[in-house]
Amino acid sequence: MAVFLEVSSLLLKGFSLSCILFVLTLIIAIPLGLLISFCTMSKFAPLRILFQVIVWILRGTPLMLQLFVIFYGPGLLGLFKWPIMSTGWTWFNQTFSTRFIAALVAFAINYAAYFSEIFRGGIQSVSKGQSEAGQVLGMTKKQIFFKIILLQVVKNILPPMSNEIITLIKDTSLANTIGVYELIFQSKTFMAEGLIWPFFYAGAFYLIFVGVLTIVLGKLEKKMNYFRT
Amino acid sequence: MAFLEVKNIVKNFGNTKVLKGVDFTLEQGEVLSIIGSSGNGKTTFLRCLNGLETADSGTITVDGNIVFPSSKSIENLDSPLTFGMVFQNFNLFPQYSALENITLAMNARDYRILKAKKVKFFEFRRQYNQIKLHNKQIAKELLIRVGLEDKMNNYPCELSGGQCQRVAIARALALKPKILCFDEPTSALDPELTGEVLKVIRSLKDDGRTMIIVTHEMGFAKNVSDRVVFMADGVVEEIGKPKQLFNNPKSEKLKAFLSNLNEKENI
Ligand SMILES: Nc1ncnc2c1ncn2[C@@H]1O[C@H](COP(=O)(O)OP(=O)(O)OP(=O)(O)O)[C@@H](O)[C@H]1O
Ligand SMILES: [Mg+2]
Repeated sequence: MAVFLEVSSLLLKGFSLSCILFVLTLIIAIPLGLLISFCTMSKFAPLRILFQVIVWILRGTPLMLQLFVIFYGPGLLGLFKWPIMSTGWTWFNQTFSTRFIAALVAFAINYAAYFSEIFRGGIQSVSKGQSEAGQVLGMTKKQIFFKIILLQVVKNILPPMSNEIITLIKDTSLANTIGVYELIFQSKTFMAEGLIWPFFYAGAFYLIFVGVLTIVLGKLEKKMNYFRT
Repeated sequence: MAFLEVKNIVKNFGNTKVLKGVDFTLEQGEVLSIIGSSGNGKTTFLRCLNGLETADSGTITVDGNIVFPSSKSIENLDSPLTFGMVFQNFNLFPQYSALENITLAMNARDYRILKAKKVKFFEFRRQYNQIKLHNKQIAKELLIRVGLEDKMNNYPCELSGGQCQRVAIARALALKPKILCFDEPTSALDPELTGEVLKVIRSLKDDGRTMIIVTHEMGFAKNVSDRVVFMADGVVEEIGKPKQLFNNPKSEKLKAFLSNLNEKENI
């Protein structure tokens, strides 16, 4: 029983760090992705092509590779060194090391690239006639975007975004490879004591979280079923 | 001076010359139909009138005011729109009910007007809510007008094509345009639904509305219009009273166009 409680408390701590990484990644990646999507749709060819190449690289290489490049790259290239055994700073009993920052940077950039493609598709799928109708009714560009286009884009991108968001919570486990104390990292520590079940226990955390996410996002999708774009 | 004067409107898309100098005039209360074979610039012309395309040259004058080339600086928020537009495929806003489709742009306009007056927040809210209520009333009356009072709270996906187009007409009327343009308003409809839309347009004529209607419905063009324009190769090839145009076509192109239509009817 004592072992179970100890495992529980450590896994919970790891899981909460996973969740923080998840939420912060979303907070950064969504606006960044929107910005990138505008760049890849730009009429200015150099900007457009530059960002198309960047998106291609970010989507075409493994996230693990990007994580390693961001964590080890600066040191190996002699730019700067993420302090390897930094104590970081503590907040609500969680340690935010530079490793965590490196993971967050990698995830945010990688997911922004994925999101940008979803946003681009969502914006381009709203028929041109919608903004033209607003225009001939004398509405301003701003009013047209916020009152007419936005909700249709949100409806269009909700299903692919749900997929990406669900993938993200599982992808946070990759951060254990650079020593972020997230859920998988914590469950690995029990291997030394010959315990395998903490891994299954960790799996249950992901399952429940994904289950809740699925229900919430499904509800949101349903809420928008009253109209068809 | 005529109510609408269109002078020498030219429009190219890259190397494609679409409009090669469109000229005509229109009096207030007059209904003008534009006919012509596919791809000769009828839609492009309406889009130039509405500012959805920018013509390369030419002038458009309405009621003595030059609306093209435009001088944005004298734009007056309160003034009614110059042109209204009803699209072939309706372009209703799917996330709004029939009623909201009509009030949206009215509210957006009144919001801008109110903002420009710089009233304080609570006063702003009070006045804006009052205006919205008023606009809702106008929208209801317009829906009654097009025979859709029972569909007020339905969303576009719950309406038939004919009903959608009638909402679109009501939506355009709400902004009180001086001239209402229709781009093949019945082309996207099943044949049995065209009647209800044409009836609404007909009733607008009886109200004395100035309208420009691009159409392939020759019977309708004959009956409803005061004058008909035949467009060919980017210019007004022939213009005149419907009887004269359909019964005594002068230009060879119009003769060919009409006999082609007759052949199709006889297939
Ligand atoms: N945005 C555009 N870019 C390039 N070419 C265009 C564009 N819009 C229209 N065109 C061309 O302009 C010509 C006229 O098109 P338009 O749609 O005005 O014809 P229309 O008379 O309305 O035809 P229809 O009766 O089929 O509706 C066509 O050859 C079309 O290919
Ligand atoms: Mg057309």
